[in-house]
Amino acid sequence: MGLPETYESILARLHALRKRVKNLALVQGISTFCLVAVTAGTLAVLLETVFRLPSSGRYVLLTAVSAALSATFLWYVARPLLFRFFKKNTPDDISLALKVGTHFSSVRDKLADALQVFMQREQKDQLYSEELAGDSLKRVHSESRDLDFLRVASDEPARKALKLLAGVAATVLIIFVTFHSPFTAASQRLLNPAADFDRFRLSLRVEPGDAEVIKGESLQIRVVPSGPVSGPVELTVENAGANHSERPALTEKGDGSLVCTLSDIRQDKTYFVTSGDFSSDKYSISVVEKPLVKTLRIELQYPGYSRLGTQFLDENVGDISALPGTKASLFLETNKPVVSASVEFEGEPALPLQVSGFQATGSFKVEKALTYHLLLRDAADLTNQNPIEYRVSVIADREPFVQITYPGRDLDLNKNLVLPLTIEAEDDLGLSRLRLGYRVLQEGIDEGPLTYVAITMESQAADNALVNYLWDLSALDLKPEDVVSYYAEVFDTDLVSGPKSAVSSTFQARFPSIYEMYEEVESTHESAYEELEEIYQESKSLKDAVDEIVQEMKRDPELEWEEKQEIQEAAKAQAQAQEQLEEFQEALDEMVERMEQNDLLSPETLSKYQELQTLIQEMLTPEMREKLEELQESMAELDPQELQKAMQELSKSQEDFLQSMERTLNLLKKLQMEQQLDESIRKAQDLKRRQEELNQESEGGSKQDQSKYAEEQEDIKKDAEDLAQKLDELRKQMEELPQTPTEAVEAAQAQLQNEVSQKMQQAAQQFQSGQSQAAQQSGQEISEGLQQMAESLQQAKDQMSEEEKRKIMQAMRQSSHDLLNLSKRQEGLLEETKGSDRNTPGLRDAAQSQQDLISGLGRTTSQLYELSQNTFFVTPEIGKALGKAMSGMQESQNGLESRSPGKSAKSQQTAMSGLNEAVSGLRSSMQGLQGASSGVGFEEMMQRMMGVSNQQQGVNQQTSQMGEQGGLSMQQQAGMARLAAEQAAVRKSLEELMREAGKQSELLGDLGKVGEEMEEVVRELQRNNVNRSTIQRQKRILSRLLDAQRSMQDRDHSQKRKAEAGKSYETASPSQLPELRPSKQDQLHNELLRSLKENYSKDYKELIQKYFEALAQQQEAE
Amino acid sequence: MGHYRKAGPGSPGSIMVSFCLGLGLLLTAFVIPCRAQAPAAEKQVAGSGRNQIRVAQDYERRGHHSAALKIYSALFSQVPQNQLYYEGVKRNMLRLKQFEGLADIVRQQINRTNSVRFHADLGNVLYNQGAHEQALKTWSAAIESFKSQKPAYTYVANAMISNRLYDEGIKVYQQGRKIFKSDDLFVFELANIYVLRLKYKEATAEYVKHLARNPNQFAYVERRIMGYTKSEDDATQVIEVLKEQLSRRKESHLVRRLLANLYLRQEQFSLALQQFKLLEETRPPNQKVLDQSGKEIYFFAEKALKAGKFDHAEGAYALILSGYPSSPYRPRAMYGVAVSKQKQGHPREAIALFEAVIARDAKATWAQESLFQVGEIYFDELFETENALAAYQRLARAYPRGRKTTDAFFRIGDCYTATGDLQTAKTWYERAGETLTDNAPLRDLATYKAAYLQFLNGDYSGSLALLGGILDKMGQAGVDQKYVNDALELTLLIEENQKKSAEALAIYARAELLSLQRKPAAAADSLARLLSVHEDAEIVDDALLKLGELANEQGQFLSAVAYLDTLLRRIPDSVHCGLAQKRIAEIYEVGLNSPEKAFAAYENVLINYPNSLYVEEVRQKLRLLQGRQLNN
Repeated sequence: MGLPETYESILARLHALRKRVKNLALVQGISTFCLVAVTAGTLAVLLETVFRLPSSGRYVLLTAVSAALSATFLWYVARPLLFRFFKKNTPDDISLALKVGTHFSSVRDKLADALQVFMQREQKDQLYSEELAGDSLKRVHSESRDLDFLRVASDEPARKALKLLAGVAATVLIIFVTFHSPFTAASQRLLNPAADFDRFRLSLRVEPGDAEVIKGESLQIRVVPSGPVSGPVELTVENAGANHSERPALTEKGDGSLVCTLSDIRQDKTYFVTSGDFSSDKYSISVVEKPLVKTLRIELQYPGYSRLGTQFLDENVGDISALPGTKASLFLETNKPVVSASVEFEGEPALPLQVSGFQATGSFKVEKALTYHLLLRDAADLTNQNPIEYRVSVIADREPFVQITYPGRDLDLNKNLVLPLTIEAEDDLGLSRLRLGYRVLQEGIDEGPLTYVAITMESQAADNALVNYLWDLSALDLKPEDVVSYYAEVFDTDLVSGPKSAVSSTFQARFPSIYEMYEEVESTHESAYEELEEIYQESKSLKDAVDEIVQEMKRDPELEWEEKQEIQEAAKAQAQAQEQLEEFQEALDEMVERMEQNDLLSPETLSKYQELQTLIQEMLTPEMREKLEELQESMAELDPQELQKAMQELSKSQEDFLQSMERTLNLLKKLQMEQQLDESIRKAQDLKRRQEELNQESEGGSKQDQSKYAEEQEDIKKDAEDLAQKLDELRKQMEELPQTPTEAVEAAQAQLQNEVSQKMQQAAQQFQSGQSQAAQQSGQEISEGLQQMAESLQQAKDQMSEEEKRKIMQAMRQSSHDLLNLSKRQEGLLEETKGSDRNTPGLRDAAQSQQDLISGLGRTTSQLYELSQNTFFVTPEIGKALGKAMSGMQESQNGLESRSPGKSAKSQQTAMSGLNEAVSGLRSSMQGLQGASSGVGFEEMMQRMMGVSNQQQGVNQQTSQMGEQGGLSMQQQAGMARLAAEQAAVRKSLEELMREAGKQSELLGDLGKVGEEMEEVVRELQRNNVNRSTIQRQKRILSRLLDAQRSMQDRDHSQKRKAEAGKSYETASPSQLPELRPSKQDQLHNELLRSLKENYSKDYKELIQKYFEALAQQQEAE
Repeated sequence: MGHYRKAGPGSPGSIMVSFCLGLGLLLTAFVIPCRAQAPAAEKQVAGSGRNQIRVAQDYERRGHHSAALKIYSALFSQVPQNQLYYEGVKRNMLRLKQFEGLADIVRQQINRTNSVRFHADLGNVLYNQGAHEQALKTWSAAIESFKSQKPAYTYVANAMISNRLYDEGIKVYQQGRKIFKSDDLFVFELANIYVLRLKYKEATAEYVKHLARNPNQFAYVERRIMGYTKSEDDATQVIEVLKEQLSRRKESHLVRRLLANLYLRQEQFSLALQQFKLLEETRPPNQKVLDQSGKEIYFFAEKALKAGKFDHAEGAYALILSGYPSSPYRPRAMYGVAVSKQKQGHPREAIALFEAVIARDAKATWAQESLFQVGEIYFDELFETENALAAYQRLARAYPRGRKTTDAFFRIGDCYTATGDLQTAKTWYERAGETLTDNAPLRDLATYKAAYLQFLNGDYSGSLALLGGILDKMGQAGVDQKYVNDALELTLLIEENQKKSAEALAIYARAELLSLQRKPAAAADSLARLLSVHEDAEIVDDALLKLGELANEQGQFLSAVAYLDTLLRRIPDSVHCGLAQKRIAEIYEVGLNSPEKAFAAYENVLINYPNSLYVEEVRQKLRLLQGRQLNN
């Protein structure tokens, strides 16, 4: 570096130092000025706030502050600015060099000297040579090169000044924020020194000042301001003893005053008014209390005849509604001691009450409707304000009411001649008795005498009654076509003016003839078949249409508008078909119910009808509906692929639907035939009965009656010919089906047509010609002929049942044989693959063999599933075992295919186990079937159900005999333990029955809860804790068991029952059943979940799911 | 000179900087809590999202993609970085063909996170949209941009494969190999594509390549190859590759084992043996220890024996005996030769061989087995009950606690049954049962045998009681089901017949006993008597079936057909109809050598008994017969 550059370098560094010195001085000066300004301003405001200076004072203060600020500004701001911008070389370089020298001890005054020498090098009188000056400068430069000259000027003073300013500013800010209002006012005043602020001072007049108010009344407070209002005028009200205050709003009036009304004043208060910093004096409001009724209680003593006793009205209820003669006693409590109290009646003399301090009492008799209020007076002669006006109403005894809610319409009687009635009755004061009035109209015309049947109500004198009454009409000796007209009559308990009575509407129950019933059923059957066939045909053509569209879509997935319309139409038509089927199902349900009630069917035929109902219910699963919805969605989304898929699925569903329909039709046809066979048997028996009656009648009959007998014989003959005709039709139908007892039917028909009918003709003629002896002889022969015919028809029916049972047995044998075969083949495969590893040859063949076994099991399972539709004997346990077998086989198959024979071996064992369990289940079922009266197994279930009921009845009786006893002897305790064991045994029997009933257990109704109740009874017995609820629970259990029995068709219309008198049944009310349903569904659902959790294959899980779904649907249908 | 312009620590500038820093800190104090709320919100979304995700997945499973998309979109808009939500949106939009919208979303993801997976997705969307070229460009650009990242190749190739661009996918992986200069990369990915493309040769080559570098993964590689060598054609392709690799590779041991095992699985026993021999010869020196010699051959022999290829098994066992004098497998090989002979129908020769095994070392395990087998041959094949009894008794005496002793007891019982001495038989069964205190299944066998004797004696209730003991514990763990099904079968037979036709059942039992005594003619007579005396008995169908079987065994084929045909005609709903019809067909096919009649008879199984368990077997037979007819 040359000398000039060195010199320039030093100067530049000094220049930078100069600039920094000046900048720091400026920052420090500005900070100092601001500090002074803030401090002075704040002090001035503080002075004004505290002393509220007059105008002259504010002028002086303002001038002083301004002067101080100006001086500070000039010295601390203007001066550094001047130096910064106008005196650029001040301080000079030498001074700065000296400063540097002072700061850095290594430099001392060498820099200043060198500079000075160098600057003066050209002067003539200079003592040093230019070289020496340059050399000196270079040396100094080299020595000071690494020194930062800027560090000479410290920024500490500037920092301190800024920090101080920040601190003061923050303090001032806090003070201003805290005392915002007075400081702002003071600032305003200070900035306006000339203004006279005292002119604006405020005064307020507050009315009424201190005041006295009656409790609950209002008080108006008026404020009249004079002088300028510096802020809003506010009223502050404080309750005596309360910590908080309220500020109700003041309303301005036209005259400049402000008012506020304090309403409903209930305690002492103080109040004052403020405006800005002005506050009025505090005033007080004192509350004075009037007497009032704090509590009113009324006791009503009803007249004796009403048996209503005494009643207390709710507290503070003064309105009285009572029978005439009721004594009303009043009990009052007041808020303060009163000197007098009275009941002030409207238009009647007042009734003074007895007063004692805070209380008053008195009574009066209710005789007529009027109003009253209570009047109180205190020692200060103050009376209660606005007393409540109470009402006294007189109620009259109303007429009782009765209605027959079930059947609630005219109807035909069942074969068992028992008419269940539900009678509802009520009265305001109580019911004394209930009876049923009826008269018999022979053949619907001749009116018999009016007769009454007393009906026992559960509790006497109750105000309402719901009676379930089974009216046994068998004792009335009704003939077909007789009509019973009946009504219910009820009486109340009014003993004063005599019991009032009411009657229900009159209904009629008709006893139809068996022929009528069969005719009706037959015509319903015919139309049902036709209807179903129609639906079938429509569905068939609909399926064709859908298939056509599906084909079309395969060719071209994009649809034209017309095609879309076609799809819409098809979907609509399918939905309609579903609806029609639903309607058909309803009609069928009704028909079956009717046949069932009238015992028109044998149990076997009836159970088949139920199967048919299930089948239809299965067809009405939501699946089709879902497919239709999916189709609609696909159409809306306009996705041709989805639409095509939806159409294909719909077509598949339709196919299933059609298959089910076809099966239903066939079943219905077969059923019709069986129903007709049942009908023929019943008719034959009926003919025989009638013939025997005629025989008996004619035995002691007079000659005059011979023509009547002849007529009667003609009637029987006509019906016999009809039956023969019927049998002929039935035979023809039977010929269409294989393995039907056509010969037996044909023989019966021939016998009826050729022998019996001729004999009848002969007997009628004999009656006509008065040969009563001969006619009787013929009648006897006819009876025998009819008996034989009925027997041969029954044999035909039995033959059919036997055939069916044989078929079921055969199917079960086949299945168990096949399953055993599969088990053995599985065993063979297991032996073959045992000890293999992944490289063992022949595993492919083994996998194929396993696949063959799976296929075989699949077929056997399908057969069993189909069989399960026809019989109770294929239980869910068998299904479960099959599921296990299938799952094992599929796992084994996977293992073999993936060449993991080790894994497969375990699964094969599982499969074998499942197969063997299924065979074992079938074996048990076959044992049951062997002893069963039919393949369906219905009667066995019924018998066992009856057995359970009988057992329960026994336990109930014994428990009742033991009764509620405390402190049992050892013997009694042993008795209780025995009973507990018996009850547990009944429960076990029930559980077994339900388990074995399997999918048909829903016929029993929900017995799950009964099981739970039984368990509870067992617990109570075990704890020796027999009480009323135990006995009630047992009654309920028995009642449910009987209900379940009835729900299994109520088919034991035994003679024994007919002979019994009508009695009230403590039956489970129908409304309880729906509640029970969900738990049954849950049970199924849980069963399903449990099965699905078991490690079955996907396919089999689906199968299990379908199985349970079918069960659930069937249950819903039931 | 810039140095001087720089502000020093105490300059006004630095004060301003401090001020700004303060301000920054102040702001941070406000902003951080606000920002901190974002993850919390995310967490909240995640919490509620889990439930919604479940719903969306459910919708998706049911095919309601629009509904699923709505949920995924809502979740995705809240947490766009959540990959699960993104994938849900992507999947459903692809299904619903909302390509444009999806492309926008993918682009947004790219802008947010420039990840190769999104580039791959973009290509996928474009391809689905029909912009094939653009898609390919996108993918190649993605590879170009992320070429140093291995997953890039996988993402892109996967996207391509999902659009069935298999060849392109292969190219991408191969490009990856080039870039990373590693021939071992993407082996499984490539192999999978090759398998998808049914290019088993290439797939195998990839696996072999992998195996060369990872010899310990032999089992895994073999399983993968096993997955596509189920059919003969596919296996042939793989065999070719393995052979080729064998010729190329030095370390061919594992490849050869692959090949040998494959031959074995394909049941190409000669070729397999050849390879196992080579394996034996080329065993690595360090493994070539004395007690392992002959191991490979032995392995083959055992497999062949298990597969029923007795000639091959015999050959292999013989090879061990002749070629490996010090092999530890020799005793088993001797036994194996004997078993092979026995199975090939040379009972006398087999007995001699078994005796040789016993003579060699009477204490060896194989000696016991051999002695038992001697008994078995005498009893089952030669029907020499006395000799059989002697062999079993010899075994029982020589090895009172041997592994075959209990079996021998059972067989002694069987021998006595066959001689008609049911009482002694019973004692032996009981003795067997007594020795089996810790073997429940075999105790069941003893019970079953006793029950069977009762049945033969006509004591049905006694028999049922014993059988009930087995059936009662049917569902329990550790029960051997093979005795359970026997018990069930006998139980059903007794229960079905004892009430209605006990006498017929007794005759049937007698015929059974005669059969056991190898007196088929007498058994047949007995059954014929049953048919004539109890023609309506339930057991008639069983009797007819048995008669058919007996006649067939005696070579009276026409009689056998007649009996079986009678069964079909007389009892058309018998449980044995399917089997009877199949047996008729088999007799026509084998005994009477009449394929046409056999064909028709087999067809009858399918027509008349479509639910029969033999349908599959019959179909196979029909195919074979058809094939044979065509060849002729």
